[in-house]
Amino acid sequence: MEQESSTNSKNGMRQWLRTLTTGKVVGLVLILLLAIYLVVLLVVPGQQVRRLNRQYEIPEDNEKAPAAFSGDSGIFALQKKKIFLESRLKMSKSDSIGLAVDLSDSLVTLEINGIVLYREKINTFHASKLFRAVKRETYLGMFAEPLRVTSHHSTFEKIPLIYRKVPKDSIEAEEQLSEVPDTTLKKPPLLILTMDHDIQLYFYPYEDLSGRDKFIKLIFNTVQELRYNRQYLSSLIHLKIPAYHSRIKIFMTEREIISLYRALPENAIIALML
Amino acid sequence: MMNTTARQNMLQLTRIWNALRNAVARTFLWIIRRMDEIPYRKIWSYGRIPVYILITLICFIYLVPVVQEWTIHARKYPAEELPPAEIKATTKNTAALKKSVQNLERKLSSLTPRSPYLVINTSQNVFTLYNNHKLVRTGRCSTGSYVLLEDGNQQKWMFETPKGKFRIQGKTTSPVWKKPDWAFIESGLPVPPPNHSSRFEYGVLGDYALTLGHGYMIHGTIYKRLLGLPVTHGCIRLNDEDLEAVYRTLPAGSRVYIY
Repeated sequence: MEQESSTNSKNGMRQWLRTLTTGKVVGLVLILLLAIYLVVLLVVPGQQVRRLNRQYEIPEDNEKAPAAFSGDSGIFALQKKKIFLESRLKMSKSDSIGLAVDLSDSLVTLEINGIVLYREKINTFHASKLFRAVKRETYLGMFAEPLRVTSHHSTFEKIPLIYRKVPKDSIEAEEQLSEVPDTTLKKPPLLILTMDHDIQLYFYPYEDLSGRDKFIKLIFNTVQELRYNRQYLSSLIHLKIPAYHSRIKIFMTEREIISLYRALPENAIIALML
Repeated sequence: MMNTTARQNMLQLTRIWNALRNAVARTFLWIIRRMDEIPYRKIWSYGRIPVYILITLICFIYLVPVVQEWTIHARKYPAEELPPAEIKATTKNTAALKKSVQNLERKLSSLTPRSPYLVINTSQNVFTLYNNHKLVRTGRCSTGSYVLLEDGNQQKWMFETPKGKFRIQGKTTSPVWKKPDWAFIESGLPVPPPNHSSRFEYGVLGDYALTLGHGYMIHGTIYKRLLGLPVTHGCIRLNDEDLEAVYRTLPAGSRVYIY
């Protein structure tokens, strides 16, 4: 009887040890994978800078090269302005509404065929260091053409549809028609436009947010970050270097963010100057 | 008699209040007494793994982009002392660039017409009238409500003001509204034959109307209190004074930009 119980306890001990070892191995593998993931993520921005520099490299014998390589910041500022204007001119050939973001003058402009429909001052902005890390000729190459919006996410609807069933009689119709639309904001308007070269324009309200709105902003940002992490993971699984999202955060008034988002068509074009 | 009833009510209320107070105090004391009995260690030993996972996730979510930004090094372009020949070339380059920027600015501003045009903001329900590169008038308007009216037979009507570039195709005074089918359906009324007298409504569109094509118009309204709100079936409503100014400023063929 005693022998049996000691065999049982030995077996239990062995099983427990086996589980512990397996747990440790799994834990170690997970930590290793996490470390690799972290290292890759930290390498990604540098890779992106190098990739962009390679993409827009101008051969030294090219006549554009001397001006582009010039250390003179005055010339570079003029070159930036020139490509921004050229980009807006290209945008004006399209019959759809486009967006011109001029961060050097802190202006956002909605345009169609070169006609300014609306111009608004940016209160503050913050741009990723990537734009200062790339070579000057790379910058000029990146923004020589208007950028195209590839995806967009927001806390409010682009088309604020109100679904209504056909009324059964004139009494029900009277009730429906007497309703005054509620245009008050339910959530703070937060908007992200992702463009070519994985550049992202974040539009945040400049106004002070209430505690509830801050929480909504936190949730919105967390969801976005989770989305990027999913993209990073998917790239790693497919043995690809993930793309780095260079962000530009723009702070504007709530009403303007809504106007801007609702005015832009799907896959809108954007001219950008930093 | 009244005094006795009031006293009884007061006594009742005091009794309820005392009972509530005692219950709260007893619960509080019960919690205090059992504070030492809570198996904190046990809870922590079971719960720490999800807590660690959560902390790691939060670190990942918020620290990774910050650290990624740190890893980027901004490029520095030190001011070089250029030889005289290169200084000359740079000055020439700068002058050429300035000229080219000026030309581009001129080209871009030439795209804005001198002729009058109207801009409608459907999000804020505001219009702006321009003439000769100057803002002439601005005010409130009403645009499409974005109501999607559905009947059981998969028939749908969307009351939206279209966005983009339009031209004034025609101008009329004292316009008459010929009510389309949806106006009857929306009012819960039977749809009459095409040219039935009930389809024609006088005086509801104001004194003037400017047509934009596809049935869309800029016209007046009898619902002035709703100006500044998205309430229309797709047309643009203005108040009487604004409508008159727009009517008089914009000739047929003028551009209207809606966004």
